[in-house]
Amino acid sequence: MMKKGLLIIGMALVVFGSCDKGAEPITPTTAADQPIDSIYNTTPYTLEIPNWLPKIVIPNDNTLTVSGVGLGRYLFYDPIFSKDSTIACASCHLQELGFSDPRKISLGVNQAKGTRNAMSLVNVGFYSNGLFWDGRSKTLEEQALLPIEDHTEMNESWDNVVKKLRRHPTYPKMFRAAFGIEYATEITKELAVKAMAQFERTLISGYSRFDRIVFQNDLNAGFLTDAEERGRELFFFELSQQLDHPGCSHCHGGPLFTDNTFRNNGIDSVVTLNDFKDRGLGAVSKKMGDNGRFRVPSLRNIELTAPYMHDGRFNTLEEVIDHYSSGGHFADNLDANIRKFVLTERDKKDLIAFLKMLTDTTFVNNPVHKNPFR
Amino acid sequence: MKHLFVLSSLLLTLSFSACEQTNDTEEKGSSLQLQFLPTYDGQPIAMFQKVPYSDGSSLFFDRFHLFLSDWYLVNEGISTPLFDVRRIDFESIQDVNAAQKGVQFRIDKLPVGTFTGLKMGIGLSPAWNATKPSDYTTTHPLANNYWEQWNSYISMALEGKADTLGNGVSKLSLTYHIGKNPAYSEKNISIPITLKSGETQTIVFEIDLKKLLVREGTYLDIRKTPIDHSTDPFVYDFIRTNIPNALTVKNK
Repeated sequence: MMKKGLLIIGMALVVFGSCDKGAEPITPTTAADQPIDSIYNTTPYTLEIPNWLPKIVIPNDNTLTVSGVGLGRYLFYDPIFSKDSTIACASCHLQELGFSDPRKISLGVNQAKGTRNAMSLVNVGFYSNGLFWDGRSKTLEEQALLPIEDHTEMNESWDNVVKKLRRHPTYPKMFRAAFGIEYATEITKELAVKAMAQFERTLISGYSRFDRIVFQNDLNAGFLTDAEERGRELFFFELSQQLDHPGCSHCHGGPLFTDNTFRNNGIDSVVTLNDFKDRGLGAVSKKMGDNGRFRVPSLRNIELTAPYMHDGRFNTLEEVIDHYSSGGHFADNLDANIRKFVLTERDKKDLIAFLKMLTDTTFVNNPVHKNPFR
Repeated sequence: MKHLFVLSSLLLTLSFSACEQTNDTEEKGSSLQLQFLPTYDGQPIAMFQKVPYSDGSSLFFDRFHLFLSDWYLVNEGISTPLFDVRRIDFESIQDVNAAQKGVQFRIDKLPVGTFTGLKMGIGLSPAWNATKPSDYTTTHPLANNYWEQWNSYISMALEGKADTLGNGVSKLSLTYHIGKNPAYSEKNISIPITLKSGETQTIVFEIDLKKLLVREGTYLDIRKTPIDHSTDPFVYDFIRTNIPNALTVKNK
């Protein structure tokens, strides 16, 4: 099953290998009104989810296939979606950084500046409560539609993208393999985002040192150091009702290290709830109490995903912890779990030592997620 | 012989048609809508809505969730399953209109008939509490809300802020997170429920948030204990035993 998939990906690699970035110049080899001469490959793709993580919900109308995931991977790395063929999804979601963006604010076509730091895509298939920092898309399929026409991102129209995909030398065959279309004219934006969503659902990180020690009892991963153990206790445990405790796991608990909620973590100083420059969830829900609330991101691979917060304002984990220990800026909707606490320098180092255990090197080096054009 | 075959076929077709009709009716069944209204001292309350507290301060809530598990329709000792686990969440109720609607969900394909009441699990039964997020799909409520320290889910969370100085600023953060097996209780209520084919019955419940913190004139000292994560035995016992009292049927 996997072999067939690898064969298809391999064949595609050979074809794409001869292209410059796979997008320009486009030389049509198959007339759009001619049947596509290739096979429809329905070989299912089996997700390997560590048994300590929840199960991913796969939409009935977009089950994973080897061909679909393979196509999605190409599309994810292909700048064909941007107006000038310079920006791909992968431009702001770098695998080696846990599919995050090292820049404070992500840049689009012609260096257009957005307003937020691109979210890490670590375990994005598990996000059940709205995607983006503000939760405006319910599904990965919906999410993938938006950056293409955003002027500060791809700045392209879907009409143009679809035209480029239809006249591309290879994509019609890959769309046929993935979705069984017969003609290139049947390529649509809906199919393109389905393929990308399939690939994104494979971005599963669950084999960090923490996982190997705690869930797998993998002796090769060693044991928790004293610092990591203390950091783990600070992160998860509250030994009394004393207030000066980090309480990280109220929002970042569970095996995903996020509770899939939206919260105001006190990074902005406002007089009223209407004063948030970026309203986050409130801009979507139109509810005042949601202003300034943003998605609680997973802390898996957090060591790699700097800068932190929706606007990338903190460069280091030390800065993040300092912020939380300050208790944050007051607002009516400041999350009630965020309170002042005191950590010694040793506490802080230990907490960071624990957080660094969440780095999953197998994930950020996984060859099946790498750029297929290289 | 030929006539006999045709007659048999006709009878067979008719009998199948009749069977299909019966199955349709059975499959359609009846529906029950359960509606949960957030209240405070009996009045509808939205998140961020300030209300007076028993110690003279004012407070508002901005998050509340409560798990319900293993609910049954009952009739003369026979129990009919209603649902396994549901999570009632008031976070998105931020205005009076929304508070008057509350949160609701409908259970379909219930058997037609008359029932005398409900058996309700409030919180998560030990069996549910023994599971982990990895046992569920990400959209299931038990895929989140897990607290490693207890090896248990947070069956009830109440969060908000209080203005204890009377200066209009609600600066004291309140967080009460209740979990572990003793937080589970069962409650039986008598209520006539008649489920008719193709129709939806509605039962309206109130969850009075004041009753979580106040009982028979005794109130939780929120200034002294603005936070409890099931760590202080007195506070834990006080709140967990208040939970079933806070949930009542409105349209009895």
